[in-house]
Amino acid sequence: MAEIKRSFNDEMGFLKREDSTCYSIRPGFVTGMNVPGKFYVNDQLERLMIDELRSFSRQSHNAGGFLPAVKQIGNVAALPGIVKYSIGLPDIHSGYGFAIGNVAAFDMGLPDAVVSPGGVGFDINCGVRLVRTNLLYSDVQPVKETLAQSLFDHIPVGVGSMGIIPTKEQDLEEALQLGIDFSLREGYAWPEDKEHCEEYGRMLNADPGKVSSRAKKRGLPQLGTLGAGNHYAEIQVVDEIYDEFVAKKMGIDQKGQVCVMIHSGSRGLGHQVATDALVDMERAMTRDNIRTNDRQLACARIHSDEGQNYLKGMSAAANYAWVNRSSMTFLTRQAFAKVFNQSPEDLDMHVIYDVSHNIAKVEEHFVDGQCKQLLVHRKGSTRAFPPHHPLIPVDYQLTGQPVIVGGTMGTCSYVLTGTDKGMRETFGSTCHGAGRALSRNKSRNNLDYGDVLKRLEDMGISIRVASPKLIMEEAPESYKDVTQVVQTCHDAGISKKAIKLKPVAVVKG
Amino acid sequence: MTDLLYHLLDEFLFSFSAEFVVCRRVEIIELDIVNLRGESSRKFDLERHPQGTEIKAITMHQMKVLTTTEVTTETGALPRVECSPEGDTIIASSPYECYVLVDI
Repeated sequence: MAEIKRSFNDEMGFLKREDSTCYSIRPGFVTGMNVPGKFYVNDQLERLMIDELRSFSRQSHNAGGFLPAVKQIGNVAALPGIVKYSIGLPDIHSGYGFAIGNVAAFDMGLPDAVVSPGGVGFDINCGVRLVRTNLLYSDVQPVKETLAQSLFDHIPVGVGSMGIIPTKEQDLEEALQLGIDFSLREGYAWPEDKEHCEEYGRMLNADPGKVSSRAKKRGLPQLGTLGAGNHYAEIQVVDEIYDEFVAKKMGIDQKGQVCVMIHSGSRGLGHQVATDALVDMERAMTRDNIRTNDRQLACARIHSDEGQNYLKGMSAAANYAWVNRSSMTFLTRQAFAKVFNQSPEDLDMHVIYDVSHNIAKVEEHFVDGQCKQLLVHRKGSTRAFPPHHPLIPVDYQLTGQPVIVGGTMGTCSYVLTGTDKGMRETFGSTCHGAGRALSRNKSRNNLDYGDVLKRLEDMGISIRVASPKLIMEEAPESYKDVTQVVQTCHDAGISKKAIKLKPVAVVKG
Repeated sequence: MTDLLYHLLDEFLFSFSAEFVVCRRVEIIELDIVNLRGESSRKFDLERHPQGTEIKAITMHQMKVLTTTEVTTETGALPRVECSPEGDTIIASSPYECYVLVDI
């Protein structure tokens, strides 16, 4: 659908700052918007969004790459069946079809409503898990290098690495069906891990039959591996506690307490499920007369065969990712146990929580005073349910759901909690991380990896990387400032800061 | 042409992910507008091959295949006009070019 070329000033006419944390996007910004858009930014983050739009409106022809994030929010608002608004969180940046950090909910009761794999992302159930210990930094500091090495030796990282926990095809089928229940049965997870996992580590509508054999073949050798890109395992220490009551409920009682954060997804299996679904759906779009503003927004009616097949396959891929994170938790517990010569139980290595930030969920939300069943797409965005929500664990009923927000390499990470305001305003969603500011290409060309490595060493961070050259792509300069992102969410009232962590060792692919 | 390119790259990605095959040279056994059969192989070896970026998926978006006479995109084939935004400059030593967007 050809868009009319507007001047930058005319484009800005559709955007309005509503308050210190939020902008609205008026329908008409792109063709066919069914609902308005809105995005959460403070002054600094706003600049990045507006600059992107300015460069775009000055281009004489389509120079390639992605549309600006604000335009993508608009295009998503034009999808059939979307309710309330198309939402951008502060870490938003352009992506395939949907921007990363874009949340969109669709009314399951409307026959026209669609599901879109681009709204979930290629890395289905990419997510973060936080494991605590009862160690303090003073315990870890003398053995930091040994510990980092032990972690690097236990967890396979980087492109082309193979899982070390033996898995057969039949195991994979069961993993896809059972999620964390598979890991429990095999002895890799503790029962308490399941309690502290989103969806209790298993999406019940998963169907391994809807995952292609190509996806399974890609997934089999990679089970239990970390991956590459922005995936990591970090040893972190508690740097600040913003809410002592909440922190205590998470088993965090002092600064300097050591934790481990694992950020990983569904590897090649998830990527293939997404690719297969996109091909399937593009074919179905003509048949079902679905039009979108962007080819990358390939989608299908939720209740069509293609839609249902995708959701069942997506759930299976999500289960794979939970098995993956469970396997790596197991390996992490082993690595620590070996270095400290104590059992993981004695080290109190419990999972605080495990969140997903690339997923589509069927949830109940109030829309115009009515309780509706919505399909909520969260791509680069984390669920953040408030206190007393029935789907969150008993331990967190008073605090609200923990939200793990991984910072970028060498910067800090946060744990937040969900709020009632967030439930009302963003379908119970908040940010997921820092969000890219520079594309991977620009980072590679402008930054020197020697400098980046040296800076990390100067900060006292032990680093083990499979591919040193990729460090530039992951350098903090390539990303927005996670502290700003988290603060904006806090100020907007859609989530609350609980704990701040800083890394002391990083293991990356 | 674009379909063929997409499936070829997708096959390489799949072979790498499932069987750790990487190759520097491919011998083409059969090639026509619709089919391609080739042969090559070498196993990815962590000892010899440094790890780089991981590719998640091949996409067809903004795919372009340029021969000396034609530019093929997802919308179809057009005659190649030199020095146009689509046709670009033809480099004498390598007149054949292709552009693919991959998700990393």
